[in-house]
Amino acid sequence: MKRLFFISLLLSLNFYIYSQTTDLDFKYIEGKKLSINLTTRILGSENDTIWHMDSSDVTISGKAVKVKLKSEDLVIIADITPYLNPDNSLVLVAKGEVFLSDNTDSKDVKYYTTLKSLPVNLGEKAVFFPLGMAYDSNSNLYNIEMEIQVLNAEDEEEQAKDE
Amino acid sequence: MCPDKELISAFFDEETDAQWSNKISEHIDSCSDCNEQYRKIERLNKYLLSADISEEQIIKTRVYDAIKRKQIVSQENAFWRRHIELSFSVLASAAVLIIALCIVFITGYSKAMEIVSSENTIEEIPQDINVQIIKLDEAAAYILSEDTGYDILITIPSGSGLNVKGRPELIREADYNRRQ
Repeated sequence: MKRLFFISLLLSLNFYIYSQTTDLDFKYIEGKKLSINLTTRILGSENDTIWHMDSSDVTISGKAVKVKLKSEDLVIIADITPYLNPDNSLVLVAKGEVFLSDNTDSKDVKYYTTLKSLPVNLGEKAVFFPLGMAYDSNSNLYNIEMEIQVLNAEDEEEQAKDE
Repeated sequence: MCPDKELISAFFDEETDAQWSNKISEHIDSCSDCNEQYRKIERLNKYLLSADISEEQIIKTRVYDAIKRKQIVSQENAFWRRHIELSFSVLASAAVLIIALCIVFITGYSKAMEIVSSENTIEEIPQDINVQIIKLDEAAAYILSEDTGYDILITIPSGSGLNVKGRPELIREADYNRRQ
């Protein structure tokens, strides 16, 4: 009986220590949170903003934020993955998939996919053009751009508190 | 009053004064216990003399005996053999403590396992992708069927006239502004 009591006590202590370790793991992730701020814009031929939308999400290094842009004749799926280096610099990886209705009558669909990476610093803004860029201002084509900014989530929270 | 064992032993070794020796001798003759003690010493002495045991061996024997005695004492006082009397309230609170710790562990463990299993989940990659997409509706249905959940869903206004203009690009905003 006494033996059983002490063995149970030791096991309980062991379990308690294990759960404490798990909490430590959570705390580790807590300190590595990254905040991704996205501004999606549709630009006119004069580079004027016709439409825009701000959104943000929280992730950790190596975990993608999945964004889906959807309209009647277009679906864009963008996976934005920030990889945080030990020196606090980032490698931003953007994977884009585009499903585009070619013709309104036939409704055939074109599919494009791409993978791009760019080294940036924390807080530095990058722009992703999933449909490419039209340099000719007279082309009368609209551009779609996604402005990406990756911040340390905790710094951003503190900044928001200060404000 | 009986003399102690050491005094009897000293008497046997003729180390006591003559005055004491007479008294002890008289007492040993009259007292059965002391007589028995004296006989024991006598027998031991005879044995030691007859066995031809060297001084070193005698010391060894004494040391081993002492160690054995200590071992017996320590076994008697062993942790598991010790009797501990606990009141019902102490036992009950100990049981509650154990149950509480188990609950803390189980909740923490299940949370950890959820995370580990979700982190270790490898999405099954289809070996043969043979999807014939003809219409956007079907494409949308295909995408939705493959949908593992999107963090951000943005609806672009209809009639925005968007089209593919070239290779997709990812550039720094500063470089983009410079180009413009």
